[in-house]
Amino acid sequence: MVRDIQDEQLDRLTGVLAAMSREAAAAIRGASAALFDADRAAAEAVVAGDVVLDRYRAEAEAMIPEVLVRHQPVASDLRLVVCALRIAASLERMGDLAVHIAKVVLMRHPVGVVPQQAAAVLSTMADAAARMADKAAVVLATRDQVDATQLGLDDDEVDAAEKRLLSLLVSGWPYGVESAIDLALVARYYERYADHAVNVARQVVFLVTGTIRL
Amino acid sequence: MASNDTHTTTRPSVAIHPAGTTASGTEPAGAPVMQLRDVSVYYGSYEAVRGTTMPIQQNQVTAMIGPSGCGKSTVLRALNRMNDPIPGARVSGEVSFHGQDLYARDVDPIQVRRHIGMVFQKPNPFPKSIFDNVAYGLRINGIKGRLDDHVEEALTQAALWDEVKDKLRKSALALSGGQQQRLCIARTIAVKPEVILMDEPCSALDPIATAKIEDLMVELTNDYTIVIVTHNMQQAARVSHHTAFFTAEVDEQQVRHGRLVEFSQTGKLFTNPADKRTEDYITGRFG
Ligand SMILES: Nc1ncnc2c1ncn2[C@@H]1O[C@H](COP(=O)(O)OP(=O)(O)OP(=O)(O)O)[C@@H](O)[C@H]1O
Ligand SMILES: [Mg+2]
Repeated sequence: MVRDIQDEQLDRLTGVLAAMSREAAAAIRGASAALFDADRAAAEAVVAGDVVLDRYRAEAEAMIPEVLVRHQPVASDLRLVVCALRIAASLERMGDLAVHIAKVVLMRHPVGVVPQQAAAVLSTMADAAARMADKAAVVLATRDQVDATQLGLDDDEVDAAEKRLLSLLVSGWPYGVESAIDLALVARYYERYADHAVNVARQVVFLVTGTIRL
Repeated sequence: MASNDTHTTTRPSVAIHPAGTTASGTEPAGAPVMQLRDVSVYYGSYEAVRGTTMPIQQNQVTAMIGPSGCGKSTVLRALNRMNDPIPGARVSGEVSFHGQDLYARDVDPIQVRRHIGMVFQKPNPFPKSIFDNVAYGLRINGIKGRLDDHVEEALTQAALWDEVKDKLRKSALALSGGQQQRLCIARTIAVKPEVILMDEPCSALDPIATAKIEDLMVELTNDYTIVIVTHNMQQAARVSHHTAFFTAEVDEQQVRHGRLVEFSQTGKLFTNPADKRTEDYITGRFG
């Protein structure tokens, strides 16, 4: 049946998004490990691995016009296709942000980026970001709205941690301007990463309910 | 308000709508020009469609979609009493036009059909000239003024004038299917109805002729209200403002009845239908 062909294509699309969400979670874990351990190999692996996410995104983007043309999807099928485009973009950006963090590590290597004073607050951000990526992957698979809204709470935690870090940096930071800029950037990358994870969850809510809740 | 009797006899003609509520605009676009309230249609003892309530908004296209046999044509015909001639056909509930019950005792079905015209699935021109096809309704309705002008106006409105102006005396049957369908639309609009009912008007047409009819429908909403039955969901999505989804349901006695499931703004119905049965039908998950 033709409807089965459409289902097969939509399933493949969902499969690509699921794979992307796992890649994006692995990327931020790799970047955080590289950051806290000043681990050059780990940072290089994150940079090299990003091409996988780029390829998946290109694959999703190629599938979508074809599904539109062949099947003229409507209702939840249409919402899936529209959301897939946005979700793939967010997940690909999440990979890029992990790469940005890894590149800061590579730029300073063998010197570490994270002094003791910033370790606690940054690891809060790193943990929350990784948790959010995992949750986004789960939400994509289960389409559970409760899980989806929970991501907002983790995001608040990331935002609060970023503020705490910035206030450390502006009040007599003893490691110099370069260090402060590195840390401000890294914190911003985590914060952006978390926002994209929230967007993935929000798209899933739209996909399920057909309404955008802010 | 139920009028359960069958109306098949011709009654003295009365005005269909009270003065001051004609098509040309005491009501804003989007106000209901017709209203169905708990309308059921019977063929003998068989209740083909059960309890339909929906508005027909003025100067809009309202689409009716749903699986074969769910009663779309039945409901459409109930809107201008085209079921009357079918033996045993009966309507309960209320079908109103500018607030007037179309099935009230003093309403003449011929007058109803003059105000609410119908275009059928298969183009059905009379075996006469192009001119006479359009002039026919004008003549029997005794419409005053120059016949030539009225015919030209109707053919122009139906986007057919340029194609036929040099062969008005030729047989309508020599036209292509798409031209014949536009001729039938011209014939319908010649008598200046307010509402035009169309039952799958494009099902026999190629994509170009279909696009012409669709353009025409949109164009015609400037002056008319259109109700269209279509199996082409993309067509409903393209041209209509509101969409009604009907389905057939089996009751406790294993009898199938047509039911209106969902009436929504068209964009809403095709992106986020409220009812799972609508979703399953429009996404092709039936059976
Ligand atoms: N003249 C008639 N006499 C008896 N039953 C009829 C008559 N016309 C329609 N019916 C019945 O009423 C039900 C609805 O038919 P209707 O033609 O309105 O469906 P429809 O939705 O227009 O279907 P389709 O998409 O196939 O045109 C069907 O069960 C049909 O058999
Ligand atoms: Mg029909």
